[in-house]
Amino acid sequence: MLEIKNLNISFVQGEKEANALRGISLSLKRNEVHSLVGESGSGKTVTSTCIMGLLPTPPGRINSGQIILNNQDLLLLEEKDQRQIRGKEIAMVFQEPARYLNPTLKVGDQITEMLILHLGMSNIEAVDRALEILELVGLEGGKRILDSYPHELSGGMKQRIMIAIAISCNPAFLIADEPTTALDVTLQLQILNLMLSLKNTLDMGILFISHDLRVVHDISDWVSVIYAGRIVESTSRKELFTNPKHPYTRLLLESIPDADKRGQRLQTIPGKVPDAENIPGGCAFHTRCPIAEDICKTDLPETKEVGSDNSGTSHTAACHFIGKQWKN
Amino acid sequence: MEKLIELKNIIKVFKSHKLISVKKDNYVAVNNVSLDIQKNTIFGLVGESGCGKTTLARSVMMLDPPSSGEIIYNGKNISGISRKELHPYRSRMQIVFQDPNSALNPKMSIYNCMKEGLVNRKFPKDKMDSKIKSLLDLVGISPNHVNRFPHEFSGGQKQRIVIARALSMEPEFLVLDEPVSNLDVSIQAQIINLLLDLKDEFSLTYLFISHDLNLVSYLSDEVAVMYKGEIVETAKTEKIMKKPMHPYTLKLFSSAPGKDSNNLFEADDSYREGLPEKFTYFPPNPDSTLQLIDIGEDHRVGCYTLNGS
Ligand SMILES: Nc1ncnc2c1ncn2[C@@H]1O[C@H](COP(=O)(O)OP(=O)(O)OP(=O)(O)O)[C@@H](O)[C@H]1O
Ligand SMILES: Nc1ncnc2c1ncn2[C@@H]1O[C@H](COP(=O)(O)OP(=O)(O)OP(=O)(O)O)[C@@H](O)[C@H]1O
Ligand SMILES: [Mg+2]
Ligand SMILES: [Mg+2]
Repeated sequence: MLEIKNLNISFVQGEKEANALRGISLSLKRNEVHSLVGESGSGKTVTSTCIMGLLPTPPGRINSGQIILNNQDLLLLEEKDQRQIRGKEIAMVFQEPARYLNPTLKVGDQITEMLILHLGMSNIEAVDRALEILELVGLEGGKRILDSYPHELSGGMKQRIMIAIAISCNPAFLIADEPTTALDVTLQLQILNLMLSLKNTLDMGILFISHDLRVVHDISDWVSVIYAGRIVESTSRKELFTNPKHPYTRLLLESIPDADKRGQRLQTIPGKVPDAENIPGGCAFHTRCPIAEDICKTDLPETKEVGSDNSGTSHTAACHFIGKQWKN
Repeated sequence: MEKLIELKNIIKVFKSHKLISVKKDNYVAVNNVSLDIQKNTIFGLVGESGCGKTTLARSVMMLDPPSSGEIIYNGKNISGISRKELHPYRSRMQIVFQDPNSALNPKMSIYNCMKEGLVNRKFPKDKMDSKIKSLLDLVGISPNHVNRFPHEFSGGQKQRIVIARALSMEPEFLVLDEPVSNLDVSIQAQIINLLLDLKDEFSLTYLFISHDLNLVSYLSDEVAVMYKGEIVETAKTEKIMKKPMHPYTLKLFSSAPGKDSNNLFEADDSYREGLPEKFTYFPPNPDSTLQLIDIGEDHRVGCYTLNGS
């Protein structure tokens, strides 16, 4: 199990402090897809880069928290031990492949490098394996692709190279940050199926970060909803989609566009995600919440068990007024 | 209706970077694409990853001119003209790139990055500040953050900054390459609503590239489906949504998330649904060339002539 406990991270610039994560706790089991959903700027990527030990400090500052893997707190490890874990135990598919791929190195070399380094393959073995992986991620024309530099590939192709690098060493945990945003639906399906099959065959635990609720619905076992650096709701996929409790989750589920709504304006959640430098007091969502009352402006709601079914599935949410109705 | 853009037989070939290369090492990314975009409409372009959408868009914008073919903008052929003649078109056409990092200079604060465009189009200095802040506000970026650098923003925030910058140029034609792929539904809705408002208010025309079929069908007036560098189907959105014809379109539509993935559409070679006699969807031999035929009311599908006819 990979456990994130009470992670609190700020970005400090002069006298300004942006509180990006305000006590995130998550646990990722093996053989499970745990999705993290939330609006742009809510802290998803900061969470994942921190797990990977890639958070730039400064300007980033870890105020508190632990990331526990095999009874070790990764945050306390030396850099070289961290590097050992990264790539082999935990691998990551970055949201912005163009930033993490080396522009001066052919993508083929970037994949084989991992295989040679972590799995001790010979060059020839590595190339063969790389071609196999390319096929898994739906990249046709193997040799041409291996021979290309990142800028010669399309957006979705770079994203799949990122996935190829991440899965090349069969990691125990995979963090996939918006791994299919640049992909068309057929490939998206292929990649999601690939992840599910890796989950099953390698017992892989996947932290799946996405803003696309349809995809999350299709792939997850468990879903956590993040808002302004805090988890506001967390439960099984089925519970979340059939019985959302937090008003934010409920509004998110209502704003999915589809063809039936042509000509109508899309529903949006009123207001904006607060910026990390000015997070409202109390419940951070109160400024946009249809059911907020005075207490929401002052008191941070505790995360509590809110499940109503008897199946024993945990369902937690952080809201003072769970169950309160609102009119449109 | 009036055409804003006409593309005629656009071909884009990337040369191989092998020292000694033969013709077959070259890569044809866009193959013989012709299409029209009407004024004040939204043209949706969908297709699988790597099929040539971005390459086509870059060609239309003359950022990376096509290897051959014509681009007619508002009646003027811009594919052969000089840099200088092209200049006025540069600000009338804007593109929101798929990768926001490629569009933002990492060493420039977003204030300066927005300012650069405005200065280029001689925007009055005294109004600069408020203009930049209001543009950022439109896309949901706090005006307090104007002095930040690109790396200090999340993926979706950068995407929105790039949209704000394109809008600052007050273009008449805007190419949006996966403009909201990094955004959650709520902000996505906000941006889409904004784009629709601007379109009505300023009579804008959009080329909207996306892999999100739901979004494209919600938004576009016309849709073209691209497959391996070629357009394989194009029609009014309602038409294509109601009756997709080409096997690739059908496959695309059946794999949308939320659908039952066991019902994925796969056509076999004998599949010829909706085609007049003597045509087929699958190339009967390697040399056959794709043609678009009209199967009624401007619904055009890509197919091949059967051998012997
Ligand atoms: N280097 C940095 N300096 C200052 N602030 C930062 C930095 N990196 C991230 N932030 C801020 O931290 C917050 C969380 O960012 P993060 O990248 O985790 O968002 P996200 O949930 O991944 O969003 P998206 O869906 O848009 O990718 C944002 O408000 C962002 O502006
Ligand atoms: N500069 C280049 N040099 C060589 N090949 C290139 C170059 N740019 C693109 N290509 C190739 O052209 C093809 C089409 O790429 P393009 O970026 O247009 O795809 P796309 O349809 O936008 O895909 P995506 O949805 O993944 O962004 C790809 O096979 C790519 O490898
Ligand atoms: Mg992110
Ligand atoms: Mg592209």
